[in-house]
Amino acid sequence: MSMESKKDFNEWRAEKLGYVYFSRLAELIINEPNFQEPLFDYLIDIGENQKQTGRLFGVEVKSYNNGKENLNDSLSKEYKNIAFPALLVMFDNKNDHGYYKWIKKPSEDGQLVFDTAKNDVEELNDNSLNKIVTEVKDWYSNQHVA
Amino acid sequence: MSNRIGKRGENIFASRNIASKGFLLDPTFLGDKFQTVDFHVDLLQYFFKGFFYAGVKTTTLGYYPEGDRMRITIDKDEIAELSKFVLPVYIFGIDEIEEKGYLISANNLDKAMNVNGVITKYPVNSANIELLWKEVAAYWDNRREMTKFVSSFN
Repeated sequence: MSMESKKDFNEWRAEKLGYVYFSRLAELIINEPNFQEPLFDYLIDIGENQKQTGRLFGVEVKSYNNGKENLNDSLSKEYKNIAFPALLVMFDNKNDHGYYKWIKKPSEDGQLVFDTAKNDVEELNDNSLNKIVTEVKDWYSNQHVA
Repeated sequence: MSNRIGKRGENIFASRNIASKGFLLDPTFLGDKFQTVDFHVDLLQYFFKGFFYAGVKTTTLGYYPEGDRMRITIDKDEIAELSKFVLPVYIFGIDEIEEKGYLISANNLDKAMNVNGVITKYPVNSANIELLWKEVAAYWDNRREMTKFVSSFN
Protein backbone atom coordinates (compact mmCIF):
# COMPACT_ATOMS: atom_id res chain seq x y z
CA MET A 1 0.00 0.00 0.00
CA SER A 2 1.32 3.41 -0.88
CA MET A 3 2.25 5.72 1.98
CA GLU A 4 1.59 8.89 0.05
CA SER A 5 -0.72 11.55 1.41
CA LYS A 6 -4.25 12.15 0.24
CA LYS A 7 -3.95 15.77 -0.70
CA ASP A 8 -5.01 16.83 -4.15
CA PHE A 9 -1.71 17.71 -5.78
CA ASN A 10 -3.30 19.32 -8.81
CA GLU A 11 -5.11 21.82 -6.57
CA TRP A 12 -2.12 22.23 -4.27
CA ARG A 13 0.25 22.92 -7.15
CA ALA A 14 -2.22 25.33 -8.76
CA GLU A 15 -2.19 27.34 -5.51
CA LYS A 16 1.60 27.51 -5.58
CA LEU A 17 1.55 28.66 -9.20
CA GLY A 18 -1.04 31.27 -8.25
CA TYR A 19 1.33 32.65 -5.64
CA VAL A 20 4.21 32.63 -8.16
CA TYR A 21 2.16 34.57 -10.70
CA PHE A 22 0.74 37.25 -8.38
CA SER A 23 4.03 37.73 -6.53
CA ARG A 24 5.58 38.89 -9.80
CA LEU A 25 4.15 42.30 -8.98
CA ALA A 26 6.12 43.70 -6.05
CA GLU A 27 3.29 46.03 -5.00
CA LEU A 28 0.98 43.11 -4.21
CA ILE A 29 0.94 41.94 -0.59
CA ILE A 30 -0.38 38.38 -0.61
CA ASN A 31 -2.16 37.05 2.44
CA GLU A 32 -3.08 33.41 2.81
CA PRO A 33 -6.12 33.03 5.10
CA ASN A 34 -5.17 30.40 7.67
CA PHE A 35 -8.63 29.37 8.82
CA GLN A 36 -10.50 26.32 7.60
CA GLU A 37 -12.26 26.54 4.24
CA PRO A 38 -11.64 30.18 3.46
CA LEU A 39 -13.60 31.66 0.57
CA PHE A 40 -10.36 32.60 -1.15
CA ASP A 41 -6.92 31.07 -1.33
CA TYR A 42 -5.37 34.51 -1.41
CA LEU A 43 -6.49 37.91 -0.20
CA ILE A 44 -4.27 40.36 -2.01
CA ASP A 45 -3.69 43.95 -0.96
CA ILE A 46 -2.44 46.42 -3.55
CA GLY A 47 0.19 48.02 -1.35
CA GLU A 48 2.26 51.15 -1.54
CA ASN A 49 5.89 51.13 -0.39
CA GLN A 50 5.36 47.61 0.99
CA LYS A 51 2.52 48.81 3.21
CA GLN A 52 -1.07 47.67 3.00
CA THR A 53 -3.62 50.14 1.65
CA GLY A 54 -6.83 48.16 2.13
CA ARG A 55 -7.35 47.83 -1.62
CA LEU A 56 -8.10 44.13 -1.36
CA PHE A 57 -9.14 41.59 -3.94
CA GLY A 58 -9.80 37.91 -3.47
CA VAL A 59 -8.30 35.11 -5.54
CA GLU A 60 -9.60 31.56 -5.59
CA VAL A 61 -7.21 29.16 -7.36
CA LYS A 62 -8.14 25.90 -9.04
CA SER A 63 -6.52 23.48 -11.42
CA TYR A 64 -7.69 23.79 -15.00
CA ASN A 65 -9.12 20.80 -16.79
CA ASN A 66 -9.42 21.87 -20.43
CA GLY A 67 -12.53 23.85 -19.69
CA LYS A 68 -14.39 20.74 -18.56
CA GLU A 69 -14.93 22.02 -15.05
CA ASN A 70 -18.29 23.51 -14.35
CA LEU A 71 -17.47 27.03 -13.24
CA ASN A 72 -20.91 27.60 -11.85
CA ASP A 73 -20.56 24.68 -9.50
CA SER A 74 -17.21 25.87 -8.25
CA LEU A 75 -18.47 29.38 -7.54
CA SER A 76 -20.24 29.22 -4.25
CA LYS A 77 -23.34 31.33 -3.69
CA GLU A 78 -21.45 32.81 -0.78
CA TYR A 79 -19.37 34.80 -3.25
CA LYS A 80 -22.48 36.76 -4.10
CA ASN A 81 -22.19 38.81 -0.92
CA ILE A 82 -18.50 39.61 -1.24
CA ALA A 83 -18.11 43.38 -1.25
CA PHE A 84 -14.75 43.63 -3.00
CA PRO A 85 -13.32 42.50 -6.34
CA ALA A 86 -12.62 38.80 -6.67
CA LEU A 87 -11.49 36.40 -9.34
CA LEU A 88 -11.08 32.76 -10.08
CA VAL A 89 -7.67 31.71 -11.37
CA MET A 90 -6.98 28.35 -12.98
CA PHE A 91 -3.74 26.61 -13.92
CA ASP A 92 -3.21 23.81 -16.37
CA ASN A 93 -0.69 21.54 -14.66
CA LYS A 94 0.30 20.04 -17.99
CA ASN A 95 1.82 23.26 -19.29
CA ASP A 96 1.55 25.77 -16.40
CA HIS A 97 -0.69 28.06 -18.45
CA GLY A 98 -2.90 30.25 -16.30
CA TYR A 99 -6.45 31.46 -16.93
CA TYR A 100 -8.78 33.73 -15.00
CA LYS A 101 -12.31 34.92 -14.82
CA TRP A 102 -13.87 37.51 -12.59
CA ILE A 103 -16.20 36.42 -9.83
CA LYS A 104 -16.91 39.98 -8.71
CA LYS A 105 -15.84 42.19 -11.56
CA PRO A 106 -15.13 45.83 -10.78
CA SER A 107 -16.95 48.09 -13.23
CA GLU A 108 -16.26 51.66 -14.19
CA ASP A 109 -19.42 52.91 -12.49
CA GLY A 110 -18.12 51.66 -9.14
CA GLN A 111 -20.34 48.59 -9.06
CA LEU A 112 -19.29 44.98 -8.67
CA VAL A 113 -20.74 42.56 -11.20
CA PHE A 114 -21.33 39.04 -9.94
CA ASP A 115 -20.22 37.12 -13.00
CA THR A 116 -20.81 33.39 -13.25
CA ALA A 117 -21.01 33.11 -17.03
CA LYS A 118 -19.42 29.99 -18.44
CA ASN A 119 -16.52 29.72 -20.85
CA ASP A 120 -15.33 33.28 -20.68
CA VAL A 121 -11.92 32.64 -19.18
CA GLU A 122 -9.01 34.78 -20.27
CA GLU A 123 -5.33 33.97 -20.31
CA LEU A 124 -3.38 34.96 -17.20
CA ASN A 125 -0.06 36.52 -18.11
CA ASP A 126 1.97 39.60 -17.18
CA ASN A 127 -0.30 41.85 -19.26
CA SER A 128 -3.51 40.54 -17.77
CA LEU A 129 -2.02 40.66 -14.26
CA ASN A 130 -1.34 44.35 -14.71
CA LYS A 131 -4.81 44.84 -16.19
CA ILE A 132 -6.43 43.13 -13.20
CA VAL A 133 -4.52 45.30 -10.74
CA THR A 134 -5.37 48.48 -12.70
CA GLU A 135 -9.07 47.59 -12.74
CA VAL A 136 -9.05 46.95 -8.99
CA LYS A 137 -7.19 50.20 -8.32
CA ASP A 138 -9.65 52.15 -10.46
CA TRP A 139 -12.58 50.58 -8.67
CA TYR A 140 -11.22 51.61 -5.27
CA SER A 141 -10.53 55.11 -6.61
CA ASN A 142 -14.17 55.33 -7.68
CA GLN A 143 -15.26 54.27 -4.19
CA HIS A 144 -13.34 57.17 -2.67
CA VAL A 145 -14.91 59.61 -5.14
CA ALA A 146 -18.38 58.33 -4.34
CA MET B 1 16.95 38.87 1.16
CA SER B 2 13.44 40.23 1.69
CA ASN B 3 10.60 38.07 2.95
CA ARG B 4 8.79 38.66 -0.32
CA ILE B 5 11.65 37.32 -2.43
CA GLY B 6 12.19 34.38 -0.08
CA LYS B 7 8.50 33.45 -0.07
CA ARG B 8 8.41 33.74 -3.82
CA GLY B 9 11.41 31.41 -4.12
CA GLU B 10 9.78 28.87 -1.83
CA ASN B 11 6.64 28.85 -3.96
CA ILE B 12 8.64 28.56 -7.19
CA PHE B 13 10.44 25.58 -5.64
CA ALA B 14 7.21 23.99 -4.41
CA SER B 15 5.53 24.36 -7.81
CA ARG B 16 8.35 22.48 -9.55
CA ASN B 17 7.56 19.11 -7.99
CA ILE B 18 6.07 17.59 -11.12
CA ALA B 19 7.68 15.14 -13.55
CA SER B 20 6.49 13.23 -16.59
CA LYS B 21 5.48 10.45 -14.20
CA GLY B 22 3.23 12.88 -12.32
CA PHE B 23 3.77 14.14 -8.81
CA LEU B 24 6.84 12.54 -7.25
CA LEU B 25 7.54 14.91 -4.36
CA ASP B 26 5.48 16.31 -1.52
CA PRO B 27 7.25 19.30 0.05
CA THR B 28 6.24 20.58 3.48
CA PHE B 29 7.55 23.95 4.58
CA LEU B 30 9.31 23.60 7.91
CA GLY B 31 8.94 27.17 9.10
CA ASP B 32 11.34 29.83 10.22
CA LYS B 33 12.58 27.92 13.27
CA PHE B 34 14.65 25.68 11.01
CA GLN B 35 17.85 27.53 10.22
CA THR B 36 19.50 25.34 7.61
CA VAL B 37 16.74 23.51 5.74
CA ASP B 38 13.43 24.86 4.51
CA PHE B 39 11.43 21.83 3.39
CA HIS B 40 10.85 18.24 4.41
CA VAL B 41 10.10 16.52 1.11
CA ASP B 42 8.36 13.15 1.05
CA LEU B 43 8.70 10.82 -1.90
CA LEU B 44 5.41 10.00 -3.60
CA GLN B 45 4.78 6.82 -5.60
CA TYR B 46 7.18 5.06 -3.21
CA PHE B 47 6.34 2.05 -1.10
CA PHE B 48 8.27 3.15 1.97
CA LYS B 49 8.36 6.43 3.84
CA GLY B 50 11.27 8.04 2.01
CA PHE B 51 12.13 11.69 2.27
CA PHE B 52 14.85 14.29 1.99
CA TYR B 53 15.45 17.83 3.16
CA ALA B 54 15.71 20.85 0.94
CA GLY B 55 17.22 24.26 1.45
CA VAL B 56 15.93 26.94 -0.91
CA LYS B 57 18.16 29.88 -1.82
CA THR B 58 16.61 32.58 -3.95
CA THR B 59 18.49 35.19 -5.92
CA THR B 60 17.48 38.23 -7.91
CA LEU B 61 21.07 38.67 -9.11
CA GLY B 62 21.12 36.06 -11.87
CA TYR B 63 24.31 34.33 -12.93
CA TYR B 64 28.06 34.79 -13.08
CA PRO B 65 29.29 35.79 -16.56
CA GLU B 66 30.15 32.22 -17.60
CA GLY B 67 26.54 31.24 -16.91
CA ASP B 68 27.55 28.09 -15.12
CA ARG B 69 26.76 29.33 -11.61
CA MET B 70 24.00 31.34 -9.99
CA ARG B 71 24.94 34.30 -7.85
CA ILE B 72 24.18 32.55 -4.57
CA THR B 73 26.77 32.29 -1.80
CA ILE B 74 26.48 29.69 0.93
CA ASP B 75 28.58 30.40 3.96
CA LYS B 76 30.93 27.65 5.20
CA ASP B 77 29.28 27.78 8.63
CA GLU B 78 25.98 26.87 6.99
CA ILE B 79 27.68 24.11 4.99
CA ALA B 80 29.12 22.78 8.24
CA GLU B 81 25.60 22.60 9.66
CA LEU B 82 24.28 20.91 6.50
CA SER B 83 27.13 18.37 6.59
CA LYS B 84 25.78 17.06 9.90
CA PHE B 85 22.87 15.49 8.04
CA VAL B 86 23.42 11.87 7.07
CA LEU B 87 20.05 11.91 5.29
CA PRO B 88 19.78 13.31 1.75
CA VAL B 89 19.83 17.10 1.65
CA TYR B 90 19.68 19.22 -1.47
CA ILE B 91 20.07 22.90 -2.08
CA PHE B 92 17.75 24.42 -4.64
CA GLY B 93 18.97 27.66 -6.12
CA ILE B 94 16.04 29.67 -7.42
CA ASP B 95 16.29 32.38 -10.06
CA GLU B 96 13.52 34.70 -8.91
CA ILE B 97 13.43 36.63 -12.17
CA GLU B 98 13.29 33.66 -14.56
CA GLU B 99 11.25 31.53 -12.12
CA LYS B 100 13.47 28.50 -12.54
CA GLY B 101 15.80 26.52 -10.33
CA TYR B 102 18.90 24.37 -10.11
CA LEU B 103 19.77 21.74 -7.56
CA ILE B 104 22.88 20.39 -5.93
CA SER B 105 23.46 17.84 -3.23
CA ALA B 106 24.45 19.38 0.09
CA ASN B 107 25.82 16.14 1.49
CA ASN B 108 29.20 16.22 -0.19
CA LEU B 109 30.10 19.90 0.03
CA ASP B 110 33.46 20.90 1.47
CA LYS B 111 32.64 22.37 4.87
CA ALA B 112 35.93 24.27 4.98
CA MET B 113 34.91 26.53 2.09
CA ASN B 114 32.10 28.87 1.15
CA VAL B 115 30.11 27.88 -1.92
CA ASN B 116 30.50 30.79 -4.30
CA GLY B 117 27.71 30.13 -6.74
CA VAL B 118 25.24 27.29 -7.21
CA ILE B 119 26.17 25.37 -10.35
CA THR B 120 23.63 25.29 -13.17
CA LYS B 121 24.47 21.75 -14.27
CA TYR B 122 21.27 20.30 -12.84
CA PRO B 123 18.18 22.30 -13.72
CA VAL B 124 15.02 21.45 -11.81
CA ASN B 125 13.16 19.70 -14.61
CA SER B 126 11.25 16.50 -15.12
CA ALA B 127 14.34 14.39 -15.85
CA ASN B 128 16.30 15.59 -12.82
CA ILE B 129 13.30 15.34 -10.50
CA GLU B 130 13.03 11.69 -11.57
CA LEU B 131 16.79 11.12 -11.04
CA LEU B 132 16.61 12.77 -7.63
CA TRP B 133 13.62 10.61 -6.73
CA LYS B 134 15.52 7.47 -7.78
CA GLU B 135 18.66 8.24 -5.79
CA VAL B 136 16.70 9.15 -2.66
CA ALA B 137 14.56 6.03 -3.09
CA ALA B 138 17.78 3.98 -3.50
CA TYR B 139 19.10 5.52 -0.29
CA TRP B 140 15.99 4.44 1.61
CA ASP B 141 15.99 1.03 -0.10
CA ASN B 142 19.53 0.40 1.15
CA ARG B 143 19.67 2.54 4.24
CA ARG B 144 20.77 -0.33 6.49
CA GLU B 145 23.97 -0.75 4.55
CA MET B 146 24.75 2.88 3.83
CA THR B 147 26.35 5.15 6.39
CA LYS B 148 26.20 8.36 4.40
CA PHE B 149 24.14 9.46 1.46
CA VAL B 150 26.04 9.76 -1.83
CA SER B 151 24.51 11.87 -4.57
CA SER B 152 25.24 12.29 -8.26
CA PHE B 153 24.15 15.95 -8.10
CA ASN B 154 27.59 17.33 -7.27
